[in-house]
Amino acid sequence: MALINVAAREIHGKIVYYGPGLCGKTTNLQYIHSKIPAGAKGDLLSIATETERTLFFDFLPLDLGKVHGFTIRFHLYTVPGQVLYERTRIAVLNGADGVVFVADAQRERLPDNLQSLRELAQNITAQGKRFLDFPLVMQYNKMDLPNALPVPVLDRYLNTIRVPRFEATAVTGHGVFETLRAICKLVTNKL
Amino acid sequence: MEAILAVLRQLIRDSQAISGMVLDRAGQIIVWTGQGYAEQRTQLGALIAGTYASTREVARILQENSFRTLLQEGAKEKIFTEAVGDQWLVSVIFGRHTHLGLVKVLCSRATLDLAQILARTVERSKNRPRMKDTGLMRVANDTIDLLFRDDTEK
Repeated sequence: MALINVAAREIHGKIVYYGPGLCGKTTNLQYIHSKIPAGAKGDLLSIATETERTLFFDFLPLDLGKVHGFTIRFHLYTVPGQVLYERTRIAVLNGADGVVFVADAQRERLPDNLQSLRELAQNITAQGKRFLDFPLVMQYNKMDLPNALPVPVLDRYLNTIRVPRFEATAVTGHGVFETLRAICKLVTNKL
Repeated sequence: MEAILAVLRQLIRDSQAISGMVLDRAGQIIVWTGQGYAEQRTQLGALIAGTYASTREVARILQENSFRTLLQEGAKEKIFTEAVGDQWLVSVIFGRHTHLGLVKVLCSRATLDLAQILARTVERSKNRPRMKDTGLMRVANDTIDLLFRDDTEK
């Protein structure tokens, strides 16, 4: 549940980018960080291995400023995607108000996407939340690659619960902000 | 929030610590008191909550209910973190002249007060108007559209 500090007139929302390893979660945050105006963002914090794979999480605080006298902040996190970091993903997901599931659209990554999505549903449910009601947005990343599956195929396998979904090429920024706006609105609409 | 801040200030004063914070388990700082780290508090909150959540998973593997406390010890400064109820944490940053034992005892007492105050605050906030009923949601959505955009978007 997002923290609403009525006395201090502050609203905070925690958004987690989830998905299999190398699907582009960190790339999303790096692109957002590069484009958001300086006054509306903090430093991008990355806890990564020496080979620049996410070890714990990436963290990017965003500040919408004052809205109707309330300060609205979103904290964006990524989880480490590699299979062995399952417990770390549970830790990072703790207290999330919304999730962006970043799927790697390449044909050979479909099983990894499915496994990661199943794990996400289990972890959200384990937090006592109903997965079907949870603010979730799906991003089909790497759509520029020749081996990317067509959107209807990705929809059929990954988006059976019909959440908002966006095609993206995070490395060029295509679809990154559309995804961000959608999840931020879903989170605020739940408050 | 004044009541939470009062408890935290007393804890920092009595233990002669440098600074302290009360934060939720998602890493968002509710109140901060003391010196330093003005530019990095947000990151500090996220890292402490992340580390605490990580140790909780370690506890599960060890079949412990949880680790209620966490100590991060450097050459000059230490951070002691303790769970407050099921949803919050209190963290105290202190130097070499402050005794860890004292921080632990005072923290343990403060967490009882903090848990009660925070539980009351949550109860009260259940009666607050929904965002969409106050018109805040519409303005928030407009601001999201305005701010979270990329000049290269068509």
